[in-house]
Amino acid sequence: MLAAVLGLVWFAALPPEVFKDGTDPQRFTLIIIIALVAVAAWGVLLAKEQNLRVGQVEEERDLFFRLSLNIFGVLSLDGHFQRLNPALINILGLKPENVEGMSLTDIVHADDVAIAREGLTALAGGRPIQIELRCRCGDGSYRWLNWSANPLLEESRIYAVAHDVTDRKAGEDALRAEFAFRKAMEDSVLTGLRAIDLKGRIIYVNHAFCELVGWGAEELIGQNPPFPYWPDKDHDQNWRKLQTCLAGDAPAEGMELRVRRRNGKLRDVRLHVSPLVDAHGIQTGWMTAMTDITEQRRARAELQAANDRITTVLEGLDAAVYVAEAASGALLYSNRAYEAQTRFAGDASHMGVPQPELGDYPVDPRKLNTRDVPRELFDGELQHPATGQWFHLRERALRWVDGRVVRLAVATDVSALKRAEELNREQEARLAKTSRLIAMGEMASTLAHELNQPLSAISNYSMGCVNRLKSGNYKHEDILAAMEKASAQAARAGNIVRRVRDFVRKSEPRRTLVNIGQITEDALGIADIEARRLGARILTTIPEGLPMVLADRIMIEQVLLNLIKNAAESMQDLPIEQRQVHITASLTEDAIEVSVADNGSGISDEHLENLFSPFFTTKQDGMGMGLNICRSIIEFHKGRLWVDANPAGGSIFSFTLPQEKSLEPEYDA
Amino acid sequence: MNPNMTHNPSQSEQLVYIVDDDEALRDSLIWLLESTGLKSQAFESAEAFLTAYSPKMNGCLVLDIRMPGMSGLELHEKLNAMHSTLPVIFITGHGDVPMAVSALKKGAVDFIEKPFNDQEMVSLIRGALLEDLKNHEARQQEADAQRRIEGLTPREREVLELIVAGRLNKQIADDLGISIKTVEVHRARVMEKMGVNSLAELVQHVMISAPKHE
Repeated sequence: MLAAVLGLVWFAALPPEVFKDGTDPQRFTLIIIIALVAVAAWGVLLAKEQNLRVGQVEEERDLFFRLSLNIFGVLSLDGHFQRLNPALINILGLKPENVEGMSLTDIVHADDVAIAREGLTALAGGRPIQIELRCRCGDGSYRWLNWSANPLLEESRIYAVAHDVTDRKAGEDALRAEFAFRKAMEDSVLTGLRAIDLKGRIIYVNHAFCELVGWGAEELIGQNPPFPYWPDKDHDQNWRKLQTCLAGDAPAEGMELRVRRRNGKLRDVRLHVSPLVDAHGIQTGWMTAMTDITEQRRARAELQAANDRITTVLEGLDAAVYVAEAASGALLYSNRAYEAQTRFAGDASHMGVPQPELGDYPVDPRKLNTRDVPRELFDGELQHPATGQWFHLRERALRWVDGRVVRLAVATDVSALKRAEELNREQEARLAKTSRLIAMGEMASTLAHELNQPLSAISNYSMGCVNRLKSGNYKHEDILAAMEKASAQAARAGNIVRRVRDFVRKSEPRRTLVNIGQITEDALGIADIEARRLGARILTTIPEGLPMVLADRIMIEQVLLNLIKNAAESMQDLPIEQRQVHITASLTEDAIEVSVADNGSGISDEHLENLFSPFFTTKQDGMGMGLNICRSIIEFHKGRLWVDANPAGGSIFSFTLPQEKSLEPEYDA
Repeated sequence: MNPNMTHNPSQSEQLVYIVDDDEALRDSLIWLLESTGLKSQAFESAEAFLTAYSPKMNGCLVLDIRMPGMSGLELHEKLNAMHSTLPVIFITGHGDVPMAVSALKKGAVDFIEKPFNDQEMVSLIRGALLEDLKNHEARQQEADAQRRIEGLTPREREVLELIVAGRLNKQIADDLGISIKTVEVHRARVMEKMGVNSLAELVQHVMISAPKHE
């Protein structure tokens, strides 16, 4: 077509000479016509081409409109949707035809309506906007859409594009939350955090760090060492520590140092250092975590002090204290006194202090469990089998620090106390004896004084008579009266003597019906103490049902005590386990015979002769009266006291007490 | 000395005062002493004797050391406090020797232990009576000297004191501010009134009266 037009134009433009043959007017008209036709044809052609092109563009545009992943929308200036593309379905799950006719504000989240309105106002004013709104989906959920809109005032339209930014929004929110969380964490954590670069310059501090050192973050960040919170005295030391940190040699368990707060107060802190590595894996500095251990230190010091106090008390006690596992008896704790006692006791087979027998406990301590404790186990006195010491032992079952059931025992050596008690008893006995002697002395004195009176009077009367008779100057009746008075005084003296005899009779032994078994038991109560001191054991063989004897129980007890003591003393050269006193009682034909046997050194023949003589003794501190008095007592009871050699070594002292029926009461009581 | 002015008791006027709670002893002791010519008076208690006591009593006191109520020792102490010069013989019983010794230290004449020998008792009593007589003599001399001193004028007494203190006439004159002549006159008066002839005698007299003079 273009060629035709061009041809026509060429033809038309041919010089008129060509068309000079006469045909010029016609030819011109023709040319005009042709030209017009050509132009028209061209115009049509152009228009057709134009139409074709416009359709194509529109088609492309529609395609773009339909296929776009973003939402395209055409809105009226008041914000009502006129057209929407199908992306609406993909993004919001809404069909465009359902939304068309609705206002933008109808589909945004209630919280975002205000923003939407504001946007629309701006658009109405001719200003393009970009806003992010939550828009409601078909299922009722919301998605974040970023709306870009441009007004076209001449068309009274708004062209808007929206794309889904929900994921970005969620990421942002998560990031914001994460940041806020980390910030909160940094601020709330009690550990002071500080970051320094590789040269030691502070590049970060958290709230706790500022609190700890008393300096603000703005004052600290950018500081180079020495840091303002270093105490003056510690400068050198802190430099060294910092160098250690920067060299990466900080100890894993941390370092302790002191911090001087701005107010001058010193705090103890512990530092932990770790490398600060950036996102690219490159170390940019060091992170230090600082904790205030002042309180912890103080608490630890207090705890230590409390512990020291308890230890000091326990170690300082004279009483042996120990803790043994109830089930096994294994020793878990013992104090110094216990150790010392164990060393003293020496014998490895025994514990340092005597242990109660299982039967001495109210329950078997081995079977106690934690529900049964705490409870008392033992409270009494025990003698150490090897050393002879006496202990007052108190045991309690309780829960040990590790939950096991243990016996806590406190053992106090009461040997000295026991000895003192014994001494006391001896002294009391001596005192009783002495007071008896004093009483006797007083009685003798009174007796003498009382007798002096009548004797003096008798003498005076007699000598008065003698003098008168000698001088011859007297009256018979005077002499007679004086002699009668003298005689009366003699009678008075006689009465005094009788009274004394009555008194003596009253202090004579009181014999009652007694059981020899009972007497022996009473005597053993006292003799045991002495025997233990001497390391001797006492065995008794006393049959039941022995007849009663008429005796002064105190006196017989004295005899037994004396014989037991002698027996125990005679065995001092024997090993402790062989020292044994055996007391037996038996019934003979008409008497009860009691024997005290020892296995000691025995009695030599020469001693045997004098054994019962007064003041005879083989003991260093003996009086030599014991056996003599014993024999007197027994003879007083009409019995016999004698000694035999023990066939097993040692001696047997025996005495008899006649049976009650064969004994005539001496006095009527 | 003026023997007529004092009353000197004869032995016959002396009494043996017996204090004992035992009636038989009192009665028999009176009987015994009577047989040797000694007169006696008995009291059943220390209290009874104190009631009857007079400083004019002559003789001696035989006192049982142990008595109910006031003891012999207590009575002795009371008599000492009253400046009694009555010699005291204690009768002691068995075991009373320490008590008797302390009594001796307080001025008792002697003690005798029951039962006592009659002759010993009588000789102790005779000794005590003799001492009583001597006491009386001493008391009379003392009273005599005292009386004489009381007869001096105040000035003479001053001179006497200075003489006894060993001052010479010239010194006494200076002390009192009087002439030697006057001192000599006073001195002669004092010698005369005191009934002495020498300075030694004068000093002796003053010493005898000294306890009461102080």
